[in-house]
Amino acid sequence: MEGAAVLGGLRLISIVPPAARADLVRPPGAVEEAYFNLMCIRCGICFEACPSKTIMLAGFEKGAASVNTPMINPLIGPCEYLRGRCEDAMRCAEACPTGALQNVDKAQVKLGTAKLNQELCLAYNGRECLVCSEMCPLPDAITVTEDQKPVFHNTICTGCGACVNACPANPRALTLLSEGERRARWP
Amino acid sequence: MAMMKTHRFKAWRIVTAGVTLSLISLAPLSGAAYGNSSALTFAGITVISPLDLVLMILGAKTISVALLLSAAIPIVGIMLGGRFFCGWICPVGMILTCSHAATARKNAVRGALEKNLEKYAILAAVLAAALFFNFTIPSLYSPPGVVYRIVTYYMLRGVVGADLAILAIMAILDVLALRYGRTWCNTLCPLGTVISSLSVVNLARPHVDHEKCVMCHSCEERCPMRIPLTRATKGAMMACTKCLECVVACPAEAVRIRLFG
Repeated sequence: MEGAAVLGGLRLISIVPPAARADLVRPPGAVEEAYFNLMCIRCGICFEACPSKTIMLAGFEKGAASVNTPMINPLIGPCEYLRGRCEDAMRCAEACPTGALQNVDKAQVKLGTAKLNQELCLAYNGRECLVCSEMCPLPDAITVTEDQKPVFHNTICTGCGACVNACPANPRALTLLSEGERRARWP
Repeated sequence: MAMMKTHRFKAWRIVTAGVTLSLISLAPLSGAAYGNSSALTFAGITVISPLDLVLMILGAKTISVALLLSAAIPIVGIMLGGRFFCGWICPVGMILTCSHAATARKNAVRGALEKNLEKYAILAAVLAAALFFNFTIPSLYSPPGVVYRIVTYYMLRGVVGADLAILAIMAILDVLALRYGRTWCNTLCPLGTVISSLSVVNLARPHVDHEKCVMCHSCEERCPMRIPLTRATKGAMMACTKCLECVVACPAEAVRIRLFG
């Protein structure tokens, strides 16, 4: 958001620092967690604008301060800001009225990291399956070894959840965590 | 005759609020407009509710010109129309009007709220919590947004989410006061207090003709905002929702709506 100014003096009179939870995977362009809860007015425009329906609203189990804030749920759909129905855009960040989601350069965005549980993975248990590497929108985030097993590269992965969404194992071998997330700078 | 009139205006207010609820909740399905009473995006223009904006600025302690501009249209509308939104559009007001109509005893004497300083105390506490403790509950502070979002969220995601619990909290607060009608609206709702505080022009408000008035106080007993109409100052009248209950309640036809002044 252009022309933003910090009311620095006002920050000094805060008695309690802003509450922040580390475990929520936020939509692309989210500002740092401590200010996200305060800038998000819970209008719901982001989930209404999301074409892949991956944005859900947090419930009470995520803490009172986060109720009704948007979070990524890869089980419903992947975040398709890199490829797919969002058509190379970040519709949620473009539509956000307060700047809690910033329409930043996509190269700066990392929602989190996909974590593989090898005990549940079909490929690591003698079956043929490389769905995760086929669905991944990035060329190098998931590489395949010579004996046809997927290897995840945490630093390249942007946490879009395409692999988690597609994983056919039951229960799923992949989970999306907020670890390693890169948030938009604010202000 | 008076009862029939009352019934008609009440029905119209329920209809306008219901139609707005349908439009706002269903528009996202077509992609025509997104949002609700907290913020709304339509045809490239984004507007923000003044309460949500103030809470955001006090909580995050940041400000920008673009944000202030997006509150300009709602603020001008509120300055002119006052709490017209609360009477004719707000879905929470619609729900409370329906439940009160179904449960209230006839001729229940409520009495007017003379100064109603409680509502300013509640708003001050809400703003102070955001400023000093970085604590805001935007959902609870913008109750109509909760109702709009329940419908939209269910249409788009197939689940209800946390909003139903928030609506239940508001319902409990108001069930305690069902006999008195819209206590949530006239005293508790921070959004309503902000709207009435901004209502400086306040077009189309009722005036009591003291030569015709028979001092029966019917208008004050019917007023959902419990305004002391027979001795109302301009300040007290800022809470008026233009519901027209006072006009039809008056047996002497002493209450008239004047567009200006």
